[in-house]
Amino acid sequence: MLGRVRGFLFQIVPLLFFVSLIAFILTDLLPGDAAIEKVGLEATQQQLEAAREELGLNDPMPVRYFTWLTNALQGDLGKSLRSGEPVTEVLLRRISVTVELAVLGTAFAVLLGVPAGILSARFRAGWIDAVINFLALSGMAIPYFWLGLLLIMLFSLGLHWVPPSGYVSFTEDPLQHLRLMALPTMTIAVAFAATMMRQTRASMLEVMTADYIRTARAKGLSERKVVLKHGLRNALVPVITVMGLQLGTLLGGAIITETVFALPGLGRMMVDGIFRRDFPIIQGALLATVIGVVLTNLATDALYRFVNPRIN
Amino acid sequence: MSETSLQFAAVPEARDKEPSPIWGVLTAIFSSWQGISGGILFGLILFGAVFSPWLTPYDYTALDLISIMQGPNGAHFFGTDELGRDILSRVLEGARVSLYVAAASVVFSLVIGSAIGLVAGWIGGVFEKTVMRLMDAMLAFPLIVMALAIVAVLGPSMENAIIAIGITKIPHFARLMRGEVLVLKELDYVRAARVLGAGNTRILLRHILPNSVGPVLVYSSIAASQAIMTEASLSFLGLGVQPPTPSWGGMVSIGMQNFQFWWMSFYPGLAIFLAVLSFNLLGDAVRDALDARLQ
Repeated sequence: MLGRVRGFLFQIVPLLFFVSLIAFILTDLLPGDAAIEKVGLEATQQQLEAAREELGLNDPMPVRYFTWLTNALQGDLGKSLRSGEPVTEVLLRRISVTVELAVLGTAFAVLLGVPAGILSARFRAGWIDAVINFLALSGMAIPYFWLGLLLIMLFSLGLHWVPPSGYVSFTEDPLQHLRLMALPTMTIAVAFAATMMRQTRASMLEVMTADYIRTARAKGLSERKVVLKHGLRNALVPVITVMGLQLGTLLGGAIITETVFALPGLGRMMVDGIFRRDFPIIQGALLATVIGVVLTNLATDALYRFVNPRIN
Repeated sequence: MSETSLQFAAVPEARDKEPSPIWGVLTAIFSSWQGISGGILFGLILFGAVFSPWLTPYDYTALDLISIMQGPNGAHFFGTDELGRDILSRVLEGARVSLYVAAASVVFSLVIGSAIGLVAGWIGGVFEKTVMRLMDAMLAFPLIVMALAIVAVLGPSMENAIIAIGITKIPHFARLMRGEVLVLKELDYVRAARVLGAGNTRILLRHILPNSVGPVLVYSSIAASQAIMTEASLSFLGLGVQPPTPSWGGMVSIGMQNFQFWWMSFYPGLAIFLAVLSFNLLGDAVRDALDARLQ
């Protein structure tokens, strides 16, 4: 156990170091002067110098990185250059929207992708398999923004079922909230469902050739039971792994989806930050995204080892 | 998309290295439905990109303020945009932009990423560990997030989109190539070459590199489809290819401000979809063909 914890630390600490370094360097290289962005172009030389000193821009880069990291570890990511609001507070508010989108999208993708994958593997090489495979390939090729647009045209402008875009918090109006989240959820889920389908199909096909499946069939179990109980249970392990490892792709999709549907999430925060040249905001969004991905990958890895103790 | 599946494929199993006639692989690729449909689609897009100036009577920049926002009709098959420009001409010109960005960024990441993976896998030790940790750290950033951050640093333009997309795909090629090197460097003929006194450079260039072409090519096709998607997304956000150069993503973005004129966003979006689909189909076909040959 101690060895495992140590191995875990050896893995995560250098990774988090590099990840935070990349996030810092990228935002540090951003063109423009954070001091000017903060005090405005009309500021006097003294004001500018004071702002520089306050933001620590006069220190050499390693010192700035170290200061930033120490503060970040204490939950202080600086303040927005535009609103003056602490970045951590903005993050906390924004993350919930993105997390909800990711959770709803994942649920939708699983409900769509896993049964499709089972069907596809069950009727391998038949027309059902061909149709599902083609749909999956198409799902992986549709740009999020175009899919979102088509859904808006169909369900909002055509059928008037849901409003085209916007955001209302759940506590304010639960029904309207869910109506507004429906199209973004579908948008972000389609590509994910396609990936899930392909993974489920591949691992079902692999599992179904195993000896215990032959044994189950020889026992005289119904095909339904063989597939769902013995096949699916074992096939789901790699599917769950892929699910965890796809969080990065999902967060990437969230940037586009949040832009199309005007959702105030993490992705939108980063894009807005870039356009407003609000460096601490970009840095915070970048760091939150990547740390989310790293932690999910590690959790997936741990879960995989737990479910499958043969690997070590 | 399948950016993470690479993690499972990073270290391929040792396999027999027999001379593989390229003809056999090509036949295998184009005898699957994925290969045929992907090949036809890609052929059409390439044709449109190469011959775009001669395929329509309109210049893609020509304004025609009398016929703005026209729906698809006999004169303009895909309709016209807010400045009266012919959308079909712009979609065809967009194919040039899109394929150019994809090709350039894939070459960029293939060359740099493969070189990194080759050297890291060959040298090994602390150097390899450090480099690969850095690659892992880059992989933790979602493609579009990394590309956005780099474009924000460099400024929005087509060249910078190429560099940004190229950089984001470096770790994928590095991991792939490192995995190949780790397998290949233990093989008898590589050891024999070393015993015979061949230098590092010679072994890497003559024995390792040519034998890892297959997986790298398969991955290039996936990388190209991701590059097209990422470029379109960057341009959609306004941080990629800048007007007046037409880009599919940018055209969808303008069309989105004019919902009721559906053709403005529909056709460029369809073009992105078909281009990405063609690369995915070809990637599947090439992978299956190589798998069959290597088994």
